[in-house]
Amino acid sequence: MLVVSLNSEKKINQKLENSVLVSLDSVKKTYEDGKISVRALRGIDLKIAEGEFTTVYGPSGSGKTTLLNLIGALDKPSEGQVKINGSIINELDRNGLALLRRDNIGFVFQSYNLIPVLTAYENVEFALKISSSNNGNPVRNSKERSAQILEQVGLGDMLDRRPNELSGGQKQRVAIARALVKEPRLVLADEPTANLDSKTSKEVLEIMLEMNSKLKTTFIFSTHDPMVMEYAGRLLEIRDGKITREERR
Amino acid sequence: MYLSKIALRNLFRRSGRTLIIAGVLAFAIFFAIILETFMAGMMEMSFSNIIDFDSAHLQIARPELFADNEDPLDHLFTPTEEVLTEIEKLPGFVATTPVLDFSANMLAGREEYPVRVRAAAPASFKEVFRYQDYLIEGDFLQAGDSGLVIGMNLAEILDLQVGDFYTLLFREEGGSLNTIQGEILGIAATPEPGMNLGTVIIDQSFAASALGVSSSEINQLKVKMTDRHSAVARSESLEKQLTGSLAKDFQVNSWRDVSDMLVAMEVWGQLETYFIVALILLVGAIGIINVVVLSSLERVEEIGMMKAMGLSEKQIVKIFSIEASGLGVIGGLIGAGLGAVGTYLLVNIGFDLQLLYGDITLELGIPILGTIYGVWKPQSFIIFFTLAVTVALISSLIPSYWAARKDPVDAIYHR
Amino acid sequence: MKDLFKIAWRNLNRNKVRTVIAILAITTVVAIVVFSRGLILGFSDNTYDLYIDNNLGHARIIQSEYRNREALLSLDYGIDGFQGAGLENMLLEIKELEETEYIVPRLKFGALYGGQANEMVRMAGFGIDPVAEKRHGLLLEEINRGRMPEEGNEILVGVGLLDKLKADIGDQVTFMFTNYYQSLQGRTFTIVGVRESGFSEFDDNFFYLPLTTVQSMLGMEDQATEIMVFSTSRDRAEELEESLAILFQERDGTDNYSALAWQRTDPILELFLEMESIFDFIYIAIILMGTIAVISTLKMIIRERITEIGMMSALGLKPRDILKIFTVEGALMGIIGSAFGVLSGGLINLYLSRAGLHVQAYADTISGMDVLVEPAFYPVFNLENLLVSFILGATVVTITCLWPARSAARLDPVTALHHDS
Repeated sequence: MLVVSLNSEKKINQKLENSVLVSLDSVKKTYEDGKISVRALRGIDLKIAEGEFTTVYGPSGSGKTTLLNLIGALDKPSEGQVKINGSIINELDRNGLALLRRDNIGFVFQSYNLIPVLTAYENVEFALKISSSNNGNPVRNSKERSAQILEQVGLGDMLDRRPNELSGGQKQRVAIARALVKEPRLVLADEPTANLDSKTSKEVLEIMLEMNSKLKTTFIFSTHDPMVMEYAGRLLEIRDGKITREERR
Repeated sequence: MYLSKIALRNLFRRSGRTLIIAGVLAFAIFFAIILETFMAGMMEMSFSNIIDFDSAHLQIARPELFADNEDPLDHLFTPTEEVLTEIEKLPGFVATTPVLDFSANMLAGREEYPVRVRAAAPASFKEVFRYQDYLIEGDFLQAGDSGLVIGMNLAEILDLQVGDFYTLLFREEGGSLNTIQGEILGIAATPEPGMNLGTVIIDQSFAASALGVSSSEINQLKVKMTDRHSAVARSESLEKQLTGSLAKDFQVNSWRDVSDMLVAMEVWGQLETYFIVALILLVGAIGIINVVVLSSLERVEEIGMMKAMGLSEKQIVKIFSIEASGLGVIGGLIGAGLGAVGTYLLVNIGFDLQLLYGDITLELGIPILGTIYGVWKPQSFIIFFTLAVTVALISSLIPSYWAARKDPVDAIYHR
Repeated sequence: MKDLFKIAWRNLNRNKVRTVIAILAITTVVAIVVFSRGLILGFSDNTYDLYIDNNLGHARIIQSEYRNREALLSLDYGIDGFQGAGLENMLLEIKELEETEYIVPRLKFGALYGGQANEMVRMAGFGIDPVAEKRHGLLLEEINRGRMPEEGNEILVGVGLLDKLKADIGDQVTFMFTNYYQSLQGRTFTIVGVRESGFSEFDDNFFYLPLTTVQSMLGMEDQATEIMVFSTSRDRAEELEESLAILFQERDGTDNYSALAWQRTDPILELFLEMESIFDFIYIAIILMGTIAVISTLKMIIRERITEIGMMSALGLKPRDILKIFTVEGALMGIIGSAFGVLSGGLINLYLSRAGLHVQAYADTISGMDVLVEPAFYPVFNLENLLVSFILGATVVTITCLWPARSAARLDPVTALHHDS
């Protein structure tokens, strides 16, 4: 109990001191694929504050996904520095990155990436339980929290369905619930609506907005769909590995 | 909790594949269990044949008698009352009988064949050995008889029948040649091949007078016990007792000491079993590696997502290892189940060796004849089940690490 | 066909890890087959040769009734030629047979040695023809000291027997024996050689002396108890047996003598020969276990390419062609795997055929049994084994791959195209 309270106290302190959640400092990323090297990012400077709802916009191949991967601590930069919630990811090893992701970041992907052998409810609860199985602190009320978040994304009556029994939109809602259930500081969504029709896309985005305002979760998502950009609080356009336009609404 | 749930559900995702690989493991276990029970049955039978017809559980004699190339007639003794009491005091004692073995040539017509003559006291001999149940012709000895009980193979090669006359040519204690003559009383067909050809039985009191020794002088005491396993330990304690407190010069051998070849055969049989099982399990291990690699390839995106969610590599390895161990458990259970059915059949119906070998065991000189019955060996179920699960687990580790170390970015985008 | 292999090769290269593992599975099982075949061939070859060289020849001639009385070392069943015309004559006629390469006659008898301390040593003596034995070579090879007995009272004794006699080369020993007329005789011999065969049965009990000496001392002039007839190879034993039977029929007209090919002379050899044919099924079973990895890999490949298959059949590729594509892919794994398996199994055999595989428990077992078997394993390394194992591996894998390939060929193009992976 003592540990938990100390941790949360620390979190609060950090929040007060530093409202910048993500900062990128002249970040470059080059992929080496045999003899060809691809320069995916060519120098990005970016700060994202707590609670922002940011959209990264650009054509395919522009470097959106690479940028999101770096912010999501899935990958390390070739040059420059990426700082997430105070941790410099350049300095972390694979396990350190995994812990950072587990404690701070939720992901939503274009292809949902649900675990097919688990039900909607189990997929969500699993995300919550990972942290407890890692650091030994049991998560309290995991059942209620999982059911509640699924209720919030509108799937309260589909808890026991397996992914193959859900529609694309429903799957993406489960994915969002899964990303949000552990109340992360940051949720990254890589083209979350690319596989959905426009009506479903709207619903999914509205859920994300709602969560953003309710839980003060920071959202960053990428898209090339103009309709989606409407929802963004902050819009970043990326072309050829550089931020070419920035807009706040 | 969730890791095992995922692992186990994955196991049934490709149930065909699971079943086939589990089948290989099951086959290894089934094979091992059946072979073990069969071997155990064979050994049980060989040992009890030797015990029932030749060695008994314990044999007590002068140490020199057990050495090679010694004339057995040089090492006679008269069992004293205190020695006999000591033997009878043994826990598990059933009966004892004196025996005087010597070698002679059996003459019949123009032929002659070297045999071991076993002079026995008929009454107590029957309590220790099971000859009388295996006579195919004639009767067993009575005290004072001049007759001879011979084995069926000896009867065959010398062309002897009950009622025929025999001559035993031997060298008596002084060194001069002497003969014993009489009638063939009985012909025995025992399941111990050595006794069917090379050994003849004669009444002890009659033999003693022919040999020119006192009728109380013998060269071995044979002891029957209730249980052959405890007999081995008793042989040592008895020897200590006899040589220690009674200060007599005796050696006590158990049935095991005289069955060197069988003991070696038992070890060899086990080695052989383990070798074959190891080969099958090796194939099974590659099957497991194959399964883990294929499933990790099929689930690349899943693994990527789990890594993005912050699962450590260890936890991902765990998922795959639990899955592989599950394969081992399924294979182990099927194998053990089939093994149990097979053992049940072997125990209750048995296996007639003649089907496999014809009459050959007679010629090989292995004391195995007739039908072999299996023996329940719970430990072999446990050992081989554990072995299968362990092999499955260990062989899954390397491919699991290979799968877990994939770059999450590559994995998620299935590059 | 060449194109098919090229396509298959590229497809297999698409995911190297799983291809390598499927190949590894085949490699392992084929190596196991090569090894076990080598082991069993080595074991049985060794055993057959030991029996043939020591006892049986390619065909063995005895008096028909001698078979049951051999253990008695009986002298009543001597071979005295066709219609009693003498051994020499008979040997000449057997030599005339086309299948005969050479003949080794022997006269076996029992003898006793009365040493000090009342002990009696029982022995078996063999009258041998020095010329024939030299042609045969076995005794000559196993003489570790001294030489072959050539004439008169010279004897060659087993090394263990020499121990029992407490004598050495050059010493004289007196043996007792019963001659044909049942009279007990004694005779003094000079030891001129020592044989060490490695088998205690021979080394502890047997001695050898010139046939002519034995014939005269036993009163069995121009006789032998057994004749080992050798042909050019042991595979011709059956023909030899047949010719001998015809010869016996023509010249003797009775069934006094029997000539049996080595395979039929000893029940233990019959058992071994029978077991060998059972093993062929075991080899196939072992390979089948290995094909499991290939099949599951192939099935996964087919699942992945289900849209591709739909596309191909939409483009007009016949099911037969699709069947071919996937069978070739499986066959390729089978061929590569078998090649590596033959290579590694062959190397193991090559090494062990020289070093030998020594297992103590096995040696202990063998020494207690009444059989002629080397107490160590020497697997045979030969091309025939490698070739057979390779063909077996490649064929079994290819045939089993027809099953998943057939399921791919039977896919309905419409469902295949709209497959949601």
